[in-house]
This record gives sequence, C-alpha cells and structure tokens, in this order.
Amino acid sequence: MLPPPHSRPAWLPLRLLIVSAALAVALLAWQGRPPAEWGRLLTGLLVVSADGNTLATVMGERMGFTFALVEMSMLLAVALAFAVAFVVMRMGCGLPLAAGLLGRFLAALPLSAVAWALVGFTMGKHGWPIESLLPHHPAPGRDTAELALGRTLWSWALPVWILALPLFGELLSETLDRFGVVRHSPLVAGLRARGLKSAVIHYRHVLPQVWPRLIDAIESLGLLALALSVFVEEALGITGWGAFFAVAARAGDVNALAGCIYAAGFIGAVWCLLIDVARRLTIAPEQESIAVALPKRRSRSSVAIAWLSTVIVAAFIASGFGGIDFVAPVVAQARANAPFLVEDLKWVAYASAVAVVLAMLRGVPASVWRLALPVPRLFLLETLCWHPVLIVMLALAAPLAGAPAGWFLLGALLWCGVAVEVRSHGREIYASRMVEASVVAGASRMSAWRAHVLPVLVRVIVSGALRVAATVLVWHVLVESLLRDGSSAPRSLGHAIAAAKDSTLTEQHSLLIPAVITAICALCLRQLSRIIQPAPPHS
Amino acid sequence: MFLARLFIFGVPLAAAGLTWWSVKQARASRVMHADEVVAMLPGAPPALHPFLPATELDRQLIDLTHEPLIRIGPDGKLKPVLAERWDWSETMACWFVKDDLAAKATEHLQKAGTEKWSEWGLAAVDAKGGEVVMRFAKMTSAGPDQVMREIASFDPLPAEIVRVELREAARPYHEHFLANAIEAAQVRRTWFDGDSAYEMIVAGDTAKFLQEITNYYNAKTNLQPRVIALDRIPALREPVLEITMREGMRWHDGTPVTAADAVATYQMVMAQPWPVPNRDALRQVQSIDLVSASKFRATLRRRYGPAICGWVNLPILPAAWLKENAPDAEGRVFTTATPPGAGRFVITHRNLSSLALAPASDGARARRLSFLSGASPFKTRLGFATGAVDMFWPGNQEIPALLKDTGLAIRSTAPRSRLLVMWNTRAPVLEDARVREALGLATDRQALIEVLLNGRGRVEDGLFQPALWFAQKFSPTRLDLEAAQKLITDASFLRDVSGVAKRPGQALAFELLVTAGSADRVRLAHLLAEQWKKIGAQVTVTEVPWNELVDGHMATHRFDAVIFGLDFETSWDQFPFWHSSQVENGLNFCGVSDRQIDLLLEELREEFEPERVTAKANELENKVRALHPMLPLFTDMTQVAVRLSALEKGERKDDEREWSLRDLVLDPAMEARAKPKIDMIAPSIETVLPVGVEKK
Repeated sequence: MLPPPHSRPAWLPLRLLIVSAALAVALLAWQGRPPAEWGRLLTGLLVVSADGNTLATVMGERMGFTFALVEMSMLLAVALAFAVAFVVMRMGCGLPLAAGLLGRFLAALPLSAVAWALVGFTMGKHGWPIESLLPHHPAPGRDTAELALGRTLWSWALPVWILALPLFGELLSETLDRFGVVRHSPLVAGLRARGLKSAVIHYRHVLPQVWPRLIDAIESLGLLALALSVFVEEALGITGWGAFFAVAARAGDVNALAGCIYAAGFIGAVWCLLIDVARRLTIAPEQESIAVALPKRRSRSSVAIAWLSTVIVAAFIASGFGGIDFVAPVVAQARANAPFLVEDLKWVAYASAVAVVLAMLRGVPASVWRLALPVPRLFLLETLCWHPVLIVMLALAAPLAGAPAGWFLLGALLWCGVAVEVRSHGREIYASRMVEASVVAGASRMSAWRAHVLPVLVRVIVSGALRVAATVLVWHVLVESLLRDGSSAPRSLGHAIAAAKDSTLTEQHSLLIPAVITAICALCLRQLSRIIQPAPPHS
Repeated sequence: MFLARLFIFGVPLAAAGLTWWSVKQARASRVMHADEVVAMLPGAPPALHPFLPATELDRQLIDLTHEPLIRIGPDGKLKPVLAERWDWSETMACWFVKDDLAAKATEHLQKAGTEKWSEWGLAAVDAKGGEVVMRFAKMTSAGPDQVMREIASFDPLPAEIVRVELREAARPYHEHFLANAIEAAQVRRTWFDGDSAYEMIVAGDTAKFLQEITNYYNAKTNLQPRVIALDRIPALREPVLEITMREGMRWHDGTPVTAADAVATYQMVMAQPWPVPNRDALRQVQSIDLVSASKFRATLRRRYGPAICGWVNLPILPAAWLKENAPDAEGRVFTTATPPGAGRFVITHRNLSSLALAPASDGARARRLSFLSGASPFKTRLGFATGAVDMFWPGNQEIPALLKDTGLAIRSTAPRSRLLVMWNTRAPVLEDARVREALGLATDRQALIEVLLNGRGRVEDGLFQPALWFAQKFSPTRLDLEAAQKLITDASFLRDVSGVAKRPGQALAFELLVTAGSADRVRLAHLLAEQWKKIGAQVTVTEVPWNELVDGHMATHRFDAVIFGLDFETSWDQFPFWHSSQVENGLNFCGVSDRQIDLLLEELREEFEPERVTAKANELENKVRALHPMLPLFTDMTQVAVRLSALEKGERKDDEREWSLRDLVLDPAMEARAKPKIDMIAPSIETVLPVGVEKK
C-alpha cells in the first residue's frame, strides 16, 4: 500500500530515523527493559545476540548487505517496470490493462512463498546451486577468477530478482496508471497532433510528467523492499539485516527486535537520502507543479475484472465448504485452502475495521476544521504513512502472537494513510467552488458538506478500507509464513506456506497454491477499491 | 532520451545476461570431482579432541588424522600401527634384612646355570643394597615361584601393600611423611591412584610402619584418612610392557615418530581427568621409561594382561607439540590449535564453518575431504539435490524416505554403546534365572526398535564389543511368548484372574528404574512394561535421578531392574562387572556371584597373549549369558547417507555392516597391501643369558 500522493513530509530521512528509534525504545519499554537499555540501543551498544555481540557489531556488515540488495532490486524493478510499461503502451490493444493487472497480482503474491518456490525450482528441479545457501569452497588449484566471479554474481542475482518481482509488479501498475492518465491529457493530444513520434512523446513528455509522482512511489517502494528483504534473506540464507530480523522475530528476542527496528531506520534514511539526491538531479523545480486532470470515469474492463475476481473468490470460498468434487488435483488442493482463507479474512476484516474507524475519527473532522495550534505542525500522520509498517508488524508479531491485540495493532498501524487521504480529499472539496456556491445559494455549511463532501469521503473511506484489507491479507500471510515452523497443522494460508517449505525441493505446488489464492483475493479487494475510487485518485 | 532508453532497457537485459552467465559459472564450479568428497554436518564444527571425541564423526576424523600405537584392524584383531611390536616380560623384587643376604641370594641364582635359568625363564638378576631384582622374559607364574623357593633359604622379607585414601591431594602429605617418618626406609614403591589415594609396597617391620603411618594420619582428622593393609606378598612381581616403535613413521610435519612421543602422550593423558577408553588399563602403569628413541618400557603394578588395550586406538601426539601446547582439563587447546598427526589424512583447512582434509600419503581414493558445518536439514537436502554434497548424517526418521532416493546409500558406523536392562539377581522376584530368561523371551526388541528408532537399530547379545576377535556372534533372541510363559510356569508362577503371575506369597511384580528426565528411556520402560505384562509381570516404572540411581540403588543393590546404558570397551577384562568381589564395592550391580565365572575372570585378567583370549572369553560369555543377568536391548547406530557414486562400484544401497570414513576415502587395495603379514605379534622371548655365561 503506497502512501497517498503529495503526503511526503520534509526531512523524511530524519523523520524515519526518529520514528524508528522511538518505536524501538517503545518496544523495549513495553517489554519492561530498564531505561539504561534504551540508551544502549540508541548508541548501538545494546547486546542483541546470545554470544554477547552489540547492535553495532552485528549490524555493521549486515546493513550493508541488505542495503545493497534493496538498491539493486529497486534498480532492476524500476528499469524493468518502465521497459514493460513502454512496450505495452506502444502495443496498446488492452495490453496496458492486462499488464497493470498482472503487476498488481505479482505485488500481491506473498514473497516468502515465491522465494521458497524459486529455491525449489532452481536447486531442486534444475540443480543450480545457491551460493548463499550452500557456499562452495573449491579445492586449492581448482578455482579460477572467472568461476569465483560467476559464483559471486549468482549469489546476488537470485535474491535481487526475487525481491525485484513484487516491486516490479507494484511499480508497473503505478506507472501504467500514471502513464494512462497523462496519455489521455490534452497535452499529449496536442503533441500527437503536431506529429511527434510516440517514443518522443513517451520519453520526452509523458515520463517527465509522471516522474515526480513515480519517484515518490519508488521511494516508498524502497522502504517496502527493506521489509520484504526479510523474507528473501531468510529463504536464501543471506547474512543480512533481514535474516537477523527473521531469527529475532521467530525467537521473540526483544533486544534484537528493537535493534532491527532501529537499524531499519538507518537503512531507510540512507535510501530516502539517495532518492532525494535523485529527485534533485532529475526534477526541475517547476516540473512538480504540473497538474493532471482527475479521471472522471472507471473503465468498464476494470469494473468487469473487479466483479469477475470477486465472483471467483466467492466461488472458491464456497467450494471449500461445499461438496463440489474437482477432477484436477491442483484445484482440489487449492480448495483445501479455502478454510484457511476464511480464517485469514476474519483477521483482515478486524484489522481493516479498526483502521477505518481510526481513519474516520482522525480524518473526517479534520476535513472540516483545521485546528490552529500555536506549535508548528509535525506531520506525524504523514511520517507514519511513509514508515515501513510491515517491519513493525513483524517485530510485534511474536510478542502478540494469537492475541486479539494483534489485529487491533495492525489496523492502528495502517489507518494513517487512509486518514491522510480522507482529510486531504475532504479539505479539497470543502474548499472547492461548488461548496462555496451552495453556501452562497443559502445552504448551511453542514448541508453543503453532506451534499458534496460526504459522498466523496464515503468512497474514499470504503476504497481505503478495501486497500487496507488487501495489504493486511498479504502481510498477514507473509508474517505467518515466517513465524510458523510448519510442524503444527496449518490454520491459515501463511501456515500452509510454512508447512510446504520443507517439500519445496520436490514440488512447488503446495507453496504456490496458497500464495496464488492470497494474491487473487488481495487483487480482488484492490480492484474493488479501484472501482469505488478510481486510481490514481489525483496526482 | 538515449540515456533514459539505455537505462530502461539496458539494466534488465544486462541483469538477465549476467544472471545467465553467473549461473553457468556457479554450476561449473560445482562439477564434482570423483576424488573429492564433501560432507555436511548438522551441528557445530568438530572439536577434534583426540582423546575425547564428542561425536562419532569426531572419532572417525581423529582416526583419519591421528594414528595410535595399536588399532583394531578390519578383521577385529589388534593391528600394530605406530608400534612395530610389543613384548611382555616380568620383574620380581624381593627385600632382605641385610645387604649381604641380598648379595648372597643374587650370587646363588647366578650360579644356578643356564638350564635352570631357561627353565625359570629368568633373564637377569641384580642386587641393589638389600633389594634383589629379577627379570623374567616370560609371563608365567611358575618361574618366579621356583626362583622364590630357590632363595627362600636367605629369608627374604615379606612385603605389605598399604593403601591410603585422603580427602585432599595425597602427594604432599606422603612426601612430608617420608621426610619425617622413622620407618620411611621400609617404603619400596609408591603408586598414586588419582590425586587423593596411593598405595605403597612396604617391606621390613611392617607392623611398626603401619603404626607410624596410622598415627601420622590420625592426627589429621580433617583429611578423613583411611589406611588399609591390602595384602601381604612374598615378593613384588611387576609385568613390563616393552613397545618398539615402527621405523619410518613420520608426523605430518615430516619429523619422525619416536617412543618419546608415545611416553609424552601417555603422561599428558594421565595428567588429565579425561575418561579415555580403557583408562583403567593405563592406570595400571606404575612407571614408564624410555629405553631408546624407538622403544619404551611401561612397568605395571600388577599382573594385568588387558593393559595392552589401554594403548589401542589411543592417538599419539608429538612430544614437541605437547610441550608447546599443554592441554587443560577441557582440552580447549585442541579447538584452537591442530596437533600434527601421523594419520593417512592431514587437516589442510579448519575454521568455524568448514574443515578440509587431504591425504598425507598414497593409498587414498579421495584427494580432498571437506566438511561444512551448521547445516539445517533443509540445507543439507539442497546440497545433496544440487550435487554439492556427497555425505550427510540424517536422523532415524529420515532414513525410510532417503532409501527411496536412487542415488543414495545408507551406511552405519560401529556401535559404541548399548542400552540394556540390568536385573538384580538377588532381588527375591528375579533371583530365579528362569524368570529373567522368560522376561528376555517376552521382549520384542524389534518392535522397540521400530517404535523408538524408526526401525534403525541393532541388537547385540554378547558381552563384548561386537566384531572384536574374541567376541562371539550371537543370533538375537527372538520374541517367544510361548517359551516365556512355559519358563514362568516352571518357576511356579501362575496367572490369576487379573492376569498377574503369582506363586504362593509372591507376585511377579517388580520395579523398573529409569533415569529421570530422559523421555526416550521412560517411553522405553513403559513399552517394556507393556510387553512383559503379556506373561503376567506387573512392572512399575520409576524415574530416578542419575546420581541417585547409581549411588542410591545400583551400588547398594536396592533395585529390581534398571534400564542402563553401557559403553563397549576394547578389552577382554570383564572383572569389574561380574566378579563376586565387585558386588559390594564395584560395578557388579547385577549381583552375580559364581565361582566358575570368578575363576574365568581372573584367568582372563592374567592373560597376556591376545590369541589365547578367545577361548576363555567365549567360555565366560556363555556362562554369564546362561545366568541372564541382563537383557541387552539395542546398540547405538550412527547412520550416514552417502552418494552412491562416491562409494565403491557395486555396493548396496542399505548395508548395515559397520562402516567408517576410512572405507570411503582409503583405497581398499592399498589398505590390504598396507596390512602387515602378521597382524598380531606374539610376545617374543628375549634371550638374556645369565652373567658369566657366553652366548654359543
């Protein structure tokens, strides 16, 4: 779930660092660690491993590995997303729609399942080695520089490709949405009328138009990539920040978890600083102000896909409890996962409800009244929107395992984005001419708000709730797949993925089926969200 | 626009190209060489403590890198390795009141003539003050007895063996006593048994000496001293083991292996509290001396034939290395420094995650043997799937699935210990051997192995370590409920309506003790109780902490039956376990007391000729087994999964014969050639002529 457009606060790297430090200290305080430990955490001297190593010692090299992984994956994802987007846009014929849908599907696939399935595919099926999992120590005299370089490159290539997959999907969807809006703008129509080649229009005019928003998306995706690196590093045995975090999350080691949250703040801050530099180098100051018109209508095909996917998910759930016999074993295997999906959806519903209630409580009043405080605005909501919430969710999953507070907390973590959106939409419309006209025509402020603002807010809230639900579903499955060992009987899709990990060398179906079910369901929720509030809502 | 296009299309294409090339290179790196074996270890890297191997793998790695003086060969017999040969002889010392009497006795013996000397086996005689020392080339009891009769007219003094036990280190007190005691001159030999006990040979007015030493220690009540006169002997007879080192043996650093290395190793081992196998045999050594660079002599404090077993499989380390790297009690030095060995393989690389060995000489099939440690089961399977790993150590539960893999073979190592039920033969309900036999017949050990070990276990019914040259191979006793029921009936037990076997005044009910905290053993105990219930036995399983089990129940014979684990030993000495003298203060927990068994045990203890052990050991084994004092359950079995292509051609997938890394990495043809023609060298008689007699 990307943060709302134009919500990026100033000094984001510093804000991320402070929020991470505050969250890490709060975790220590909640778990009853003495204040002296807080100081040690902030100075990197907190002992975070059983062998007495401090945070600074443990994270020194690990953070570098993870940052390099995130950076390379983002580079690949950005280039690949642009390449695919340009190709499908030139080809037309409904391909952009299909590619966007595919992108959102890839983004919704639980990465842990993808990583383990690829491990099984590469090693189990093709016998290709994975250097990070199984380092090779060739006998003296039996190694060459070429072989050594090849091994080193391969040890990076696979994790980079795996991590790049969901990032590519998300970015492809975002890019196609943005490009689609600009391509239908009067500016592009004029350029076409002047006889410019479509390549020139795309590279010289469309790309610069959408770049300011896309670089925001890239920045926030980089932070998400940091959280997703946990699953890739864990599956491929890379000794980075993510693998350490995975071990700490499984063990529920509070010191290590706090250390990881704090370290994530540093990695995130460095990433945002790099993007800041890129932003300054690639965007002219006046370029950011170019506005693009809001989409006025939903495409019919989007609506059709949304309803179709909803029907598929509903039929699937029903089949899991009904007596329909499927001939194909894969389908029968998939049907067995239906009860797990229902279990997960319950969780998702609770968390989304909490998020929506909180978002309404915070966003709706703020859309009408602007509280004039004597202190400068801290942009706390915006900062929280940009924080990689998945990291916090992972850190808290072990201490809160099985407790109802878990879904409450997740909802509480995800409400900020919806609240910001509700507030900004509300304010925008409340300050618009149509409301002014209603008031001038004699309507009260409240009735004008009810007539013009409320319908939009309801759409934004419902759409936001569906997007939160899609995000929670994927993240919940991811976290469950990481924290469960697969030895107990599965109760959720995440459990099913964890249980199937051990047999990935021989067959990958058991891993991919729950992942695909998760992705289809998340895609369905996301598509519904898009038809309620067409994307992009504004730019 | 060009740069943007270059970035957008160049990065994915370059990434794809590099990925394709790198995966090709990575695969090429892993092309397995036929002479390279890679193994994956489940846990920490091997500690490689040569004297206390933590695991079976440690033991086998040490076996590859270090050589002992003597090892057990593939045929189960003693095989000299660093030693060329060993010879037994005996010295006898006796003491006289005056020096001139000793001189006269010596002169008398020297004048006895060659024929007499040959008859007695006497090789040398020497007088030192009031002491006469005679050396016999043979280990026979007749010669020394005849010599003693010959010099009896000179009135040799009888000697007394005195043992002192203290609560503290005994050496300083003993030295202080010797420095101040009036009767100190009577002490002829002293032997320290650990830190806090020692034994002395005292000759002279022993009553006075005993009085003085008792008074000395009684004044030190805080030491809680025990002064015991153990035995009175006419003369002190001390067997001497002389070991000649094999010429041409070298350490991995190229320096020659000498007798000084063996002596230094012995001294280092005995200075540490390590429970090395057959430590009791090594403890019999009274003194150890270098004779030459290639020969050393160990004098034993009593006649103890199995003493040679103390040197079997005891790795020898270089004296120079030991001097520079003095080990501590924990043996930490072996984890930080790797001592040079004399074995067939040398360690070429060692760190926290990997270990590599290379052949030190010809005769190895493998050019390199690598171990990667800390692997999870999943990682191990990955390694095997990609051809990166040839060997790993699976759990019992994984074996059935692994056996389905066509490219993989399962091998098992030699058993090192076993689990058994010890019966208290003095417990009223179990004192009848028929009852004990019936319980054995009613035990379905195969079912226990299936349930507890996933079908991967061995049953060894003999007393001795299987595969040794003197150990018999018994076919395991099968479950026979009918025969068991008949034996129970013969013992006058009849089952009542509740199914419990009873005879007048007694039910077949007993308590089975098991170590507390061991879930597997408790489960085993309950399974046994279930099986024995079928013949009417009512068994109560009781968990007892280890210390209480041994000291509070077994040592005091306050138990009926106990599940106990025992290590196999490379020795023919079973005296501590079955001799009637060991019932009260020894390891004869079963309470076996049989005069014939006692005699056999004593004879075996005094047997110095390995080839002659077999007959006596077999007789002992048969007699002990006939009493059914214990019920062997199953042995340990470490299993190894090996890539079939790494093994010799034509080997079977599942072969339960004993197997070790040597079978994998050493060339069998070269191994066969490397074997000496005579595996076991009989003690030779050194011909030493009496003084004044010239060799013809």
